[in-house]
Amino acid sequence: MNTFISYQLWSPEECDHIVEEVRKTPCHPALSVVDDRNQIKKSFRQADMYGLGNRRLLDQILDAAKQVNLEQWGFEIDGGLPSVEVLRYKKGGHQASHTDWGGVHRTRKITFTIQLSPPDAYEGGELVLFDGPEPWLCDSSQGSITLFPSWTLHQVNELTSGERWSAVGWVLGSSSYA
Amino acid sequence: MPDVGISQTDQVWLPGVCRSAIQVAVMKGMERDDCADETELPGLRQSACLVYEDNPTLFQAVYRIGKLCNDKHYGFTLKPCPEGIPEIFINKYSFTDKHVGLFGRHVDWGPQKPSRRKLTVTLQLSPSANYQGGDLICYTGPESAECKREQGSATVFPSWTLHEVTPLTAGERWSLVAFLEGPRPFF
Repeated sequence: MNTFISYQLWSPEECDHIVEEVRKTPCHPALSVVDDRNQIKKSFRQADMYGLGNRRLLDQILDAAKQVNLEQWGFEIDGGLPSVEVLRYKKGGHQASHTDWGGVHRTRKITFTIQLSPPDAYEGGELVLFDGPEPWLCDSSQGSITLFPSWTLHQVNELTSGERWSAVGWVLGSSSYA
Repeated sequence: MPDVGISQTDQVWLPGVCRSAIQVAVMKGMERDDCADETELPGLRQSACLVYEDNPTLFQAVYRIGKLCNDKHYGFTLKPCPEGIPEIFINKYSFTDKHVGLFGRHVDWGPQKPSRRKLTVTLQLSPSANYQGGDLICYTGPESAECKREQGSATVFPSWTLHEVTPLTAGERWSLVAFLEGPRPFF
């Protein structure tokens, strides 16, 4: 029912280069749901998180989102793209099903994921979207971007081997969906 | 679950009002077999559907339930009543030898028209003891939310929310469903 859009944004060489650069920067456990002792719930999301600081790359992503938004949704996205996370999933890494909208994140309008690893570098780790009886498996080809409304239920299946890198983020509105 | 994923009320309608909403729909023969839109998968929904298109008191009462939740939780732009609530659906899910009522996982929002639906409002019209199974379940996170079953209780959620009615295993469940619309799609 929803419109989920996937297409090739970056070449495999560009993706390899981005991963090599990001590897040199500091890494954090990916922030997610926090329990009452301020411990990250590993059962919900397990990945390593890096930042993507290259403004040229951020602008390319934002331009892609603006074009798709124009064609598909027409959301107000005046809040732009303040930051992008680069995530590394290793064996056992995953993220349980969730939406990106709600709570303190009500201005999130468009969620995107860019596949930075070639699909043969890992097993499992599929990005799955839900809007009907059957789950929707996202394009896993290296360099592909998938965009969807941030209200969409989605998950990352558990990685069973290898290493999967992805760049993820949210294009924001100045206010919530109206 | 996000704090504004779904909102539910305790009893907002008395049993007599619930019964009357069903009786009027049945008496006037408002049954329709084209409730599914063109994108719905065959077999996804197994229920009988009756449609109100005109009943100002009923439309205002249902609209008010959604509007209150919208003002409190969502702040979506809605058209006023009656324009903002085009139809009211009375659904019958039943379990017999030949029939198992259900509605598989789906969302009520779609880009095809494009959809101006903002909120889904549902009311439980049957006493919960009248049926088994037939739970309304919403999915907004790792834990699914089983919605209230009490007769006269309401559940309201953004129409993009994935949800289902699980297969009945006994009895008969009636529900009321309406969509509150905006002057334009979500933006």
